[in-house]
Amino acid sequence: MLELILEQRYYMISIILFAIGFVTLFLHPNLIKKIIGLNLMDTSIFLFLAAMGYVGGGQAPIIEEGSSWTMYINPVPGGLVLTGIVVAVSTTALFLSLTHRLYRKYHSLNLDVILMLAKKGQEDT
Amino acid sequence: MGLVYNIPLFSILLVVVSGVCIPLFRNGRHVIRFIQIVQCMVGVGSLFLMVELSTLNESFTYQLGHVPAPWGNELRAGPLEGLFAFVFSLVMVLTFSGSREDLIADIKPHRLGNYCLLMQLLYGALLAMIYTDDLFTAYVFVEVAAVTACVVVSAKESGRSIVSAIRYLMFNCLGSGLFLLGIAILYALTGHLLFSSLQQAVEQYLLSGSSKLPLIVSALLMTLGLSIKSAQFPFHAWLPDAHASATTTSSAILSGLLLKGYLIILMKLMVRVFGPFVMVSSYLCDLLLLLGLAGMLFASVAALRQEEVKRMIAYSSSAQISYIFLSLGLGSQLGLLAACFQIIVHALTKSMIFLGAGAMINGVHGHYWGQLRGAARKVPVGGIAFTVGGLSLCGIPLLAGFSSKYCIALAALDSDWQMAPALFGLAASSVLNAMYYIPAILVIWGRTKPNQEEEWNPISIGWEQKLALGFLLFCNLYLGMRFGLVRNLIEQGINLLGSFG
Repeated sequence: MLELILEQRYYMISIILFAIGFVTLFLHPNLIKKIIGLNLMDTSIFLFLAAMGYVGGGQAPIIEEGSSWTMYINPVPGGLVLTGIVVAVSTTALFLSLTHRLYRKYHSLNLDVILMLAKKGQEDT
Repeated sequence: MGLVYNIPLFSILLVVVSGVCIPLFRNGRHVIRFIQIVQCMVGVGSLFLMVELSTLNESFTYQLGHVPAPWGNELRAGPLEGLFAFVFSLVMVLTFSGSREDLIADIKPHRLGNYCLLMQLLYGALLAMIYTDDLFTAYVFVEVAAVTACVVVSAKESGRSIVSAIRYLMFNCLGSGLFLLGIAILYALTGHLLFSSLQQAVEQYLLSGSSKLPLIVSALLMTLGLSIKSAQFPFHAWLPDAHASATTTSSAILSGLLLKGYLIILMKLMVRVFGPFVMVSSYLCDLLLLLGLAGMLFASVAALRQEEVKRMIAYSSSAQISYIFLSLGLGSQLGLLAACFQIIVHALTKSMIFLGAGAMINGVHGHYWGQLRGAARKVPVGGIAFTVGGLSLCGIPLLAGFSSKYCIALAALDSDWQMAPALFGLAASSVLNAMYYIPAILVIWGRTKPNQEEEWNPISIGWEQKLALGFLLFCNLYLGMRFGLVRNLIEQGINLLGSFG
């Protein structure tokens, strides 16, 4: 059992991180913590992808002339992670800018409070 | 002939490049014209592609940079893809024409260019989702669509629209996270990302009988991710707010087109990658059927309680998406056909309803039912569009909604145990649709004050808006009365896409 856990540690950690991120994203009312949760969730998937492409004892996949290495790690998941990071950065930026807008408007970062204020403002108009 | 093969790539490139050119314009009105011209060009190109491939009865894969299959990136086009691209372009052009005044009123003048840029990127992403033959490219464009859609929702810059954009973004992130996890598992298992190579690898796994569980988990994760993004019933919490608080153009395009883009990817995954065996043996088809059934009923019941017109239409979108899930869940060739037909019908109908509702909201300056009493008398064109669209979704014969329900019913009759629940769901949800659309229609045509003769004083609206709504009406009637041509085209496209069921 312990051996299995050790062997699969990257995948297990990534699932745990995903769960933490998910719970923070959906259950925490604070917008900044939601963003942190979102990033945790994304990072866990990148860990999963990176762990998948790793070959034990492998080298970076750059083939040099005359080198005797035969084991290389898989470069494709690395490429996928890079694309994923770009996506995560852009969603984070968007989330932050929306949060900033809301903060300027309602002077609060708590989504529950903001929802209440937004509803009230809607009734007033 | 050689030129036809370039149409898919050229249309995506043209849309994206035209988006980048938008900052060169100073006047927002010119920008709208410009992107409409580009959309028309892409529409005509797609029509040509569709006709050409349909007469030749063939589909093709286009290798980007001429790199062959296991390494390169590919686009794939057949009559079905051409048809989707054509319908999507048509809806984009008509939506921009029909809601031009709303757009200029709702978006600040200096932001109009940026808004059009985002819309163009969204449109490019949709085209890429239709044509791509690579799982990771699909993921990238799903993300592009998600980010642009969130900004488009918040473009009105009211507090409410920003809050709903944040909620939309949260659900979108969860959906894409699950989708990416599914892709990661599938890649770990097979080492491929192209649909055609994936299909071969999955077939080999099935023959050898090993690794069935990871395959099922990956299929499940991807289905779940895509159903969150397409607002299928238990995951639809973000939809009503996002669609109701946005400006009319955004609502019409998000509801009419964006939700369908994800479903097209789901359909491609089902047909081109997993195939009928995985779908049926993993009970994934049954899950889709169940989600569809639940969504058809619950979303319609939720729509009954709405006091705002746009929220009601948004819930009705969720219900209509459930029809597509239901037909996919039937797991047969006929089911796929019904799903594709419903995608086209709903894209044309829902944009018409949103445009009609938008025109009425502008006419009476209110979006609650109480304020909308008699709105159709003020804006007759909007009222007619809303009425015909609503009746079409209730399934009144001679309108498009009826023929799509007819296709779903035919597919249901052909299946075994799914027949009874599917037909029941279809009947019950039609009644529920009627229960909220017919009172709504009565309200908008009613008198503001009872027992009083009112004078008929319609507000004049632009010829462009009238033309757009008129054309959508024509499409609706055409699909209702003579759907044989479109149906044959879809059938041909599906047969070329792969066999299923």
